[in-house]
Amino acid sequence: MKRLPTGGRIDRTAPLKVRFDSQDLPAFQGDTLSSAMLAGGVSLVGRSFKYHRPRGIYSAGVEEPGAIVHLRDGNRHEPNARATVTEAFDGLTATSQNAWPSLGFDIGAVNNWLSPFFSAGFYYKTFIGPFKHSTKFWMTCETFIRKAAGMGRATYLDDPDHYEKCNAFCDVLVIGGGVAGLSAALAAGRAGAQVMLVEQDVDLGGAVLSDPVSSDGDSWVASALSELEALNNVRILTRTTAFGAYDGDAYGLIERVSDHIKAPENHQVRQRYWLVHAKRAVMATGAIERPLVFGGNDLPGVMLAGATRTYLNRYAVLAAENVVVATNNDSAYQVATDLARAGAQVLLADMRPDPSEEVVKLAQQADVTVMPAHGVIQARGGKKVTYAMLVPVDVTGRAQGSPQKFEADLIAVSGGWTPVVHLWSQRYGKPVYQEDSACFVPDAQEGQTLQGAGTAAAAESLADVIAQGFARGAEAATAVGHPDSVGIIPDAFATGPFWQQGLHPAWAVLTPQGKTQGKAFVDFQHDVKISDIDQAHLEGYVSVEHLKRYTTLGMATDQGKLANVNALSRMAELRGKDIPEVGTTTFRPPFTPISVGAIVGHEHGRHFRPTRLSPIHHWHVENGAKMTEAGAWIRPWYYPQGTEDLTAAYIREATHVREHVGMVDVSTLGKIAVQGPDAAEFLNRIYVNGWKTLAVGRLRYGVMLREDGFVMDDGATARLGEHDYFMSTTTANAAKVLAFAEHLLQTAWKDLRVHVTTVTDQWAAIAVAGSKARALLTQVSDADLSRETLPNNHWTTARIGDVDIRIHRMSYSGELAYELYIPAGFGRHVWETLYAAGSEFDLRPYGTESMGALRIEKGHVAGPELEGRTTMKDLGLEGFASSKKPFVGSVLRKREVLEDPARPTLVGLEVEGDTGAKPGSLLFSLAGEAKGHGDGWVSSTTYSPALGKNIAMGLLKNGKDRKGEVIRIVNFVGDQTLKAKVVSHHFFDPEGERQNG
Amino acid sequence: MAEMLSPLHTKAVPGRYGAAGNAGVTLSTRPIANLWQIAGWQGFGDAAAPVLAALGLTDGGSYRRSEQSGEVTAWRIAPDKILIEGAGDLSAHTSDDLVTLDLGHARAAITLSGPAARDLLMQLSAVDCTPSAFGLGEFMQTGIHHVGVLIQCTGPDNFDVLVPGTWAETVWEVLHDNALPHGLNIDEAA
Repeated sequence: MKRLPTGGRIDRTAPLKVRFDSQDLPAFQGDTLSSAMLAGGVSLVGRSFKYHRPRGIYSAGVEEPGAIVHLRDGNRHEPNARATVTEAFDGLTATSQNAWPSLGFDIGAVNNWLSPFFSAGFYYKTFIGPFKHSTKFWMTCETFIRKAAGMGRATYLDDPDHYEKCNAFCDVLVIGGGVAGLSAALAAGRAGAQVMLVEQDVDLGGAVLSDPVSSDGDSWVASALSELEALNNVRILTRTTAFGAYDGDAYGLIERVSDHIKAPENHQVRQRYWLVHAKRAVMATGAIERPLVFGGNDLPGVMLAGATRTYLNRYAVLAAENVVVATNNDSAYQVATDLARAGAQVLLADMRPDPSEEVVKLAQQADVTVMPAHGVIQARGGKKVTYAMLVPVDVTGRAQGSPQKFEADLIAVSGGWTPVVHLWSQRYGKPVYQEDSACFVPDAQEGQTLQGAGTAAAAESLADVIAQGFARGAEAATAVGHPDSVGIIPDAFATGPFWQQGLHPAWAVLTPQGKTQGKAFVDFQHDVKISDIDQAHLEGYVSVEHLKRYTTLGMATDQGKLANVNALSRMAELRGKDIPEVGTTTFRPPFTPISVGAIVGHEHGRHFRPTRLSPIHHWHVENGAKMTEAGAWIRPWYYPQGTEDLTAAYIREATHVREHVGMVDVSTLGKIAVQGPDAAEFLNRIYVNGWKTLAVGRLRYGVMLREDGFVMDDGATARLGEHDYFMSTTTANAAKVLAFAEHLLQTAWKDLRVHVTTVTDQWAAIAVAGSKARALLTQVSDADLSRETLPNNHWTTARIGDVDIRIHRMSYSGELAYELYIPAGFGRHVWETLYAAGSEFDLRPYGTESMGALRIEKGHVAGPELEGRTTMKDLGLEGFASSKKPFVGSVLRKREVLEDPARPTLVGLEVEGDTGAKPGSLLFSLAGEAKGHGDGWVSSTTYSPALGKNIAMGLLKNGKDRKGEVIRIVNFVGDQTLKAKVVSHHFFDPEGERQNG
Repeated sequence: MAEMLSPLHTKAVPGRYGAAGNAGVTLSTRPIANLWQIAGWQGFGDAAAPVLAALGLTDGGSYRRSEQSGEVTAWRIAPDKILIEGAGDLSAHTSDDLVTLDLGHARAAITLSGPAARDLLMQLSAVDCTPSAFGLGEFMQTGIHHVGVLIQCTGPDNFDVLVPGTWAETVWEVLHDNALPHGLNIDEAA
């Protein structure tokens, strides 16, 4: 291995510091990590997944199965990176993975000698099979297996970088910036379509980048690029991989914005996730060279032939000086020729008996020794190739004589080419097998909005590549309304033997008995050998999908890009069928591994989900409130004084409300304007109780059911005007109720002239509760709040300062209480006005915890009781239901199962002792074993300052008849058992004297 | 006199943030005054016509294009609903065929401008905001960070984003953080 003094597409004026394990690599701008490794003489890069066999660099692209490494350190550490597509940058550090204590001396390599025990399916047979009644043994073993096997180690540190998502819209998305893609973009761009051209590489050109610098291809690409850059309707994205094609013509792309530098600079993101909505797409994704299968074909030093040419011509790295090229097609002749001209000794073993004179002559002119009807039956060496065993072969790849030993430090293989059809397959299913090219191609049909072009569609020549790309681009533009002239098709340029020209589909070199000479791998990344496929076949696996899962073939980062066709070939042989009959698996996104961070984008940390703030929010924060999440809302939980904890604070706050007066921010309540001539009828239908008699100036508590008869929500609705109502809902169900109402009005009740509009954002709301509430509000407002003028369930307008508000008389706490509805922009002003005026009344703010304690004392149901499984009867709300009218749920609530008298019903529980119950605990009678689901469950719990004891609400079978009974409360999770007396859930002031006072 | 507090009063802190160089995005807020919704049913057009005429409007625009008359802007947010800003109290127009609703405190207005403003919108909203698809005078109702918003194009690279007040801070923060790579300027609230 050596860096050549001239050539390549690297910038020799920009040397880079790159390190792999403990070795500094001679890298330049334009290198990849793998080219720098080769230039630095690194042959051993990693260890294999299962057997810990030595792994080297096998390819020069995204299909790389062996050179998988850790990148970077600290919180930017990244496992399982493919060295072949990792751009070198100054300061890049990489380390080997899956090896201990070192890459050179890896204890795990013992697995290689134990491989007979680790054949396909060994997990199932060894650890599960003998223990059919339990997976316990497997679970124990799995820990060790996972440690021994596998890929890299991720970091637990937070990723310091940012990622973003972008939407894009275009007429034509061209995927792949090689010759076919450039041709497609030219045609579509010239026609005037909005074009996005995306290329995963840093440079455009595709296969041309593997040609010697200044070849005809370079001129062709430069010319095309120049024209495209001049078109303002063409957008070009490089370092961008199209990883997914989805229904609705949506495509997922990842742009690696800052992966090629040490850390993002100037606030830029690390990666960008594009969701592209394209009316048409052209898939010009090229083809990937296929391996040949023979003994030891996974040794470092066995490499795809095309990759050796890429390293030579793009990176000026001669991967070896003593090379055996093994092929079954013409394309490897160009490789052999280029390597020989760069100074290597090259022997070319062609499995075909009669390669064309043209290619043989080409090779011989470069002093390449050509051996027709020969194949490599085994690669030999320790941690890298030292010999190639060559053998005469017949057309099927069976040895016909004795192997001969040839010194070699590189075996370059070409078993044909596999079109990259992944995106097409993601959209349209399984590709079809094309016999003459021995590969799967898209089953192109008219009407498909994603069409393949170039080698991705098995083009037969470079001229065909250009023609296909140009035609698909023009067709796509026409289809989206741009039938303008696309001009003259670009000329083809001179190139070597085209991809898999003259291919003979022999894929393995075997002994005359059909055996491999040594371990012969089909899937390098998951250590799947020919013998594993044979075993799966013997065990009856006939489906390709089952084969994949049983052997793990085609999994991991390369997703079978190299292995699939060879595996199918073996399976077809074993089953005596041809490949189309055996079929192939369907590809799924992503095409290549993508960062979860890019998919997440900004939606993490404080942007994990949207948050919702009351208009008074900042007062709470500024005044020391501890905040809590309530759905999307951030609400004041409690206002600690001194060192108070939650318990001390909420007990104090609740006590204070009972003894003095408190106020709580209830802006989070759902608020819906119900307007229109049929508003009362609407309410009559959606609520269980009647509304037609409700007078303006009054409000009423209402319950609404789902159509299946279960309780959906409750709340109070005020009549503001003739056709104008103000509905309040629980905080949790506000959106659900609005959507339900809107749905009914737009479907079942289109006859009703009603509009429902959320006004939750329009109104701040403050509940003022306590015996001094009236006195306080009378002092700060102009309203007459006397019992006679404003009894319970009435509302009035009022002014506080110069702010017009509404005051609703209603109570959630059981105290004399009012709800103030204030235009949101004045919410904080009114709160502060109340707070200032409240000092002489000893007014204190209280939070959601004490609000909950007060409502439990009073016995009001809330979210924990309205949880979707309870009926009105269960909750003691049956009395609200009108018998004079139908309403949503009125029929199905009468189902037999919901009328069962044994159903759990709402009860109060007075807990014995100093420890409170946990919500969700189960209820059991005193006698008998505490087993199963019990007689019911605890829904809400609190310490009651008013009663001086722990209380709870729960739903208990036959609850009405069990008042006075002592039962057990069992919390299986916390291993806690308590005793409690069953009582009415109206713990405090059951007659309502305080709230009606 | 009580001051009407914007939901974004703590957020719009003038300054230069994020990437160096020319600011790609400028964020600010502006007050909303007199935002009302008028709504009706079958025959809404006839019911709304006198209201619109009184405001100097014709038909309240289309579902994509707002209509403007002086300081008054109308958005047809549904076939039978129009949102009107700047027209004062419309409650007097309430009838059996038309309901009116004050939403003047229900929204906050974020103003967004700059050469990268469209890019920022397309980062956060799955709609086409390129000039050919979203031009001056057009509006769209979409979502930013799962919050329903109305975006009005007010200039070549200028937009108003009407956000429900209680969600305003979360939308602002998402706009803010995603604008940093573009270079962010925050202007004094209008």
